[in-house]
Amino acid sequence: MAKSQIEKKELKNSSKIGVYVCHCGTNIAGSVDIKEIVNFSKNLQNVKIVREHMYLCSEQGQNIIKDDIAKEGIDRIVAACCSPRTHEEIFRKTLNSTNLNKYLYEQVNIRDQCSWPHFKDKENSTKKAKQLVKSGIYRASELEPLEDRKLSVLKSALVIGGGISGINAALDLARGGYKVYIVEKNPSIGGKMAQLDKTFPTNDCSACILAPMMVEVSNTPNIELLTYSEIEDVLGHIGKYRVTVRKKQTFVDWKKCNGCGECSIVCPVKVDNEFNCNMDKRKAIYTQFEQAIPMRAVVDKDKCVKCKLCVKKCQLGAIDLTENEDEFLEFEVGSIIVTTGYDLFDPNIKPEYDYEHPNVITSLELERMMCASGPTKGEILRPSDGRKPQTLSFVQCVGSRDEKTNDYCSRICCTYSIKHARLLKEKYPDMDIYMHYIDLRCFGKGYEEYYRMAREKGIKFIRGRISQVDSIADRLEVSGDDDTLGEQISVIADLVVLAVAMESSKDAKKLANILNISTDKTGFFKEIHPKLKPVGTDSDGIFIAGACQGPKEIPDAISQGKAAASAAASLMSKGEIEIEPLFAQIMEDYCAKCRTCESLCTYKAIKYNEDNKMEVDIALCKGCGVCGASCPSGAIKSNHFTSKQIRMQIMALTEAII
Amino acid sequence: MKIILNNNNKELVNKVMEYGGKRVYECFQCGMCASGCPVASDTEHKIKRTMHQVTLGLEEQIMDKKAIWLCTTCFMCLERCPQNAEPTEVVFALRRVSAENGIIPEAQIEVANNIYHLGHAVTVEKGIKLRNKVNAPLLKTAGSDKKYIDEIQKLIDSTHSYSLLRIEKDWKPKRDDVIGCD
Ligand SMILES: Cc1cc2nc3c(=O)[nH]c(=O)nc-3n(C[C@H](O)[C@H](O)[C@H](O)COP(=O)(O)OP(=O)(O)OC[C@H]3O[C@@H](n4cnc5c(N)ncnc54)[C@H](O)[C@@H]3O)c2cc1C
Ligand code: SF4
Ligand code: SF4
Repeated sequence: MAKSQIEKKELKNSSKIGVYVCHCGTNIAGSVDIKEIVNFSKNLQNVKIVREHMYLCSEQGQNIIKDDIAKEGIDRIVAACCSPRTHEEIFRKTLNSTNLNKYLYEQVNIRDQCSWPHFKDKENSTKKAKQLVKSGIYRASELEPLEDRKLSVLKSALVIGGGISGINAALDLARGGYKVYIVEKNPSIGGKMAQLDKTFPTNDCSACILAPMMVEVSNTPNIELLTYSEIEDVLGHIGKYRVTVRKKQTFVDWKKCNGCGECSIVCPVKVDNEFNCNMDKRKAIYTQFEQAIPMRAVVDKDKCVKCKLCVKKCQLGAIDLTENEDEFLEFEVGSIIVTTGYDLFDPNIKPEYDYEHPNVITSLELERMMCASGPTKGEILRPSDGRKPQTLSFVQCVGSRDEKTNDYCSRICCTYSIKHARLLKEKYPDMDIYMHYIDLRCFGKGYEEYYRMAREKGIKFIRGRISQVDSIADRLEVSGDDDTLGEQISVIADLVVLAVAMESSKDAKKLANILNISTDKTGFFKEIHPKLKPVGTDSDGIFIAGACQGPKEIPDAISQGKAAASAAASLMSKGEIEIEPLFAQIMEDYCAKCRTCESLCTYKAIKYNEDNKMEVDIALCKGCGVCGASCPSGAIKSNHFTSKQIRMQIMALTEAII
Repeated sequence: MKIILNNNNKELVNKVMEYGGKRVYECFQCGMCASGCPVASDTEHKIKRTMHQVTLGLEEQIMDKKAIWLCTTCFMCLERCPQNAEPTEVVFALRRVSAENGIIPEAQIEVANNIYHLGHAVTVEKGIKLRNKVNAPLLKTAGSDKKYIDEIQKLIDSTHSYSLLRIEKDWKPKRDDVIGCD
């Protein structure tokens, strides 16, 4: 007792704290004894008022706080309720509407940290809540008023990746008057959608609905399209990013080239055609596909034999095979949208499906075959002998829902396999088509109906995951289980199609490092909040959209592209934004210029400047506190997380609760 | 035993549709039919499985077990099926297919003969005698008058049901049934 009284004296004695304990319906009250928290808090130093409320965030709840500030002279608020991630902003606004500085507010999360995890143990849950509330109160005594800072924002954006998601983001921003740069690593924009034949759930031709948008991109004056290009570096911060782009050498002067394709005809070098999943050949000088935007030729540097036949052929004199360094471009933008899409699972990782067999193909390979401009001109033929298959098996969840590869569901393969089966059945009515699935996840608007039509066409759906594909002579035995029959089954198929998982793109990690954003355990870019901020990242001015955030079909990729455009626009529209002052401050008198902090800051926010001083870039600083904790001279103060504030919290947490 | 799905009868499903099970393709194997079926727990009649077997063309499996004849035709599944796949109709259609193949269980032959000769699926002879004894009025049923029975016979004679149902000219009811008495 005596000891804690001594320590209490360390608390600033002047503050008048109001403590508000929320029931959150039964979310908190169900397993935390609210009365006990109230009584306990009343006896703590500096606490002037303690109240409880059913829903503190309701208008009525907020008004109680406002009244106490006005009438009772409360000058610090502690709310014991839910997560600051969702509610801190609301209560800060409540304070702002009074005369009290909004940073004199402390939120203690007794829901996510007490009632929810310890819902079976009310006694200990209450005990923990008391301890946390106490630490909040001690910290509140030390809070200092702070002012938001203003930052100017450039009205231009960078879109990385020119798939359907990026195209939509760019068009929306450009239509709104913003300057947009699109950086696409391939020679053309279009992404995976350009490789698709028809698209669920309406079965309209992919190229027909994509091409007009691609053309609009090239015709929009305030979009600058940088294809065959990659991001080299991004510096700066929200409102002002300095971007360096590497433009790979094309060996073709795109100002002269008109995409006529004469060069490809004379080129003698045949190369696997990636666009057609390597099922046919392209030339060493090529345009990516028939509707490419921009419709310009590039030379595959590694494959060209420098015979110069193309140079002679090109009437516009556009080709020059002299090797030069790649070109680097630099520009500044106010915000960035990442739409780099996805890659497909490599089925060789699952040898049980015998992908090495020519007649075992992936869904994208089938998609290319189905396409009139594909390697088989729209005919479905067995790669081994070019014959039309009679029996076809679709194997679902290859590389998805599997702890050994990717544990998540790729979301769209059920529906695209149904699409494939339906389109095949329409074209070849007597083809026997089996689909082997765990459960069919056709969740979108119109998708259930789409699935019903597949059943009506006589496609056979077998519940049970395929364990093995074996070759028997020139056919394949697909072995599985039929859940309804309760028996092992097999299909002797001519063609097996593997519905391969959508994975994060191979260079996502590298880009994440350049941009200082996070990826999740699956390698996809991580949104800041899965429900409330689906396109935001932990870098404020950088957004993610489309399949780079997780498996997604076209409608969702477009929605997210548009959502990201809107988020970026609302950030840029005023030309300036307010940022929280939660950054580090250098106290020059104490600083010994050891530069320890500089090397530790993940966000590159502290630099040794020209005046031989350490300087914090407040736009870059996230207020993480690493510098403050590491500074041997104690010369760095982390706003809102000062050493004093944290010491008080620790003190409260380590004192026994009486 | 492993079932090779290629070795199936592709025509079965078309036949079932032709014979009344028009919506068998709608089934998506949810199991609602089987879960409400009054005989499923005590017999081999598993209606969800039957629906699936039809679409796969597993005719032998369906016919082997004779399970389709155990359906009470209570129409519970047909009422409840969320896809309106009309499972009861599929059972009827399968029975028609089976009869065409000459596979009809003895009990059904007996019922057919009962109808042919007495006008009833189950006999009411004992009941008629009892009613006579207490001077109750004659029951007005299909079997109560020779002229009705003649009409029934005319109908059956004019279709191929006569041979399919193995109607015997000199037939005697095997059981003296007890409807409406005791
Ligand atoms: C077989 C198959 C069939 C499908 N069928 C359908 C369907 O019928 N209906 C439907 O709605 N969806 C379908 N999909 C899904 C569809 O492909 C995706 O939803 C869509 O492509 C996602 O668009 P996106 O723009 O997010 O990504 P992507 O299409 O992958 O585009 C990403 C773009 O970014 C570029 N890029 C990647 N990394 C970088 C980098 N570091 N720098 C610069 N550029 C980069 C890529 O080159 C690409 O152009 C199908 C998918 C598959 C595999
Ligand atoms: S969408 Fe279907 S096939 Fe794809 S992983 Fe999910 S359940 Fe499997
Ligand atoms: S209830 Fe209908 S849809 Fe469900 S399993 Fe039975 S027949 Fe099929």
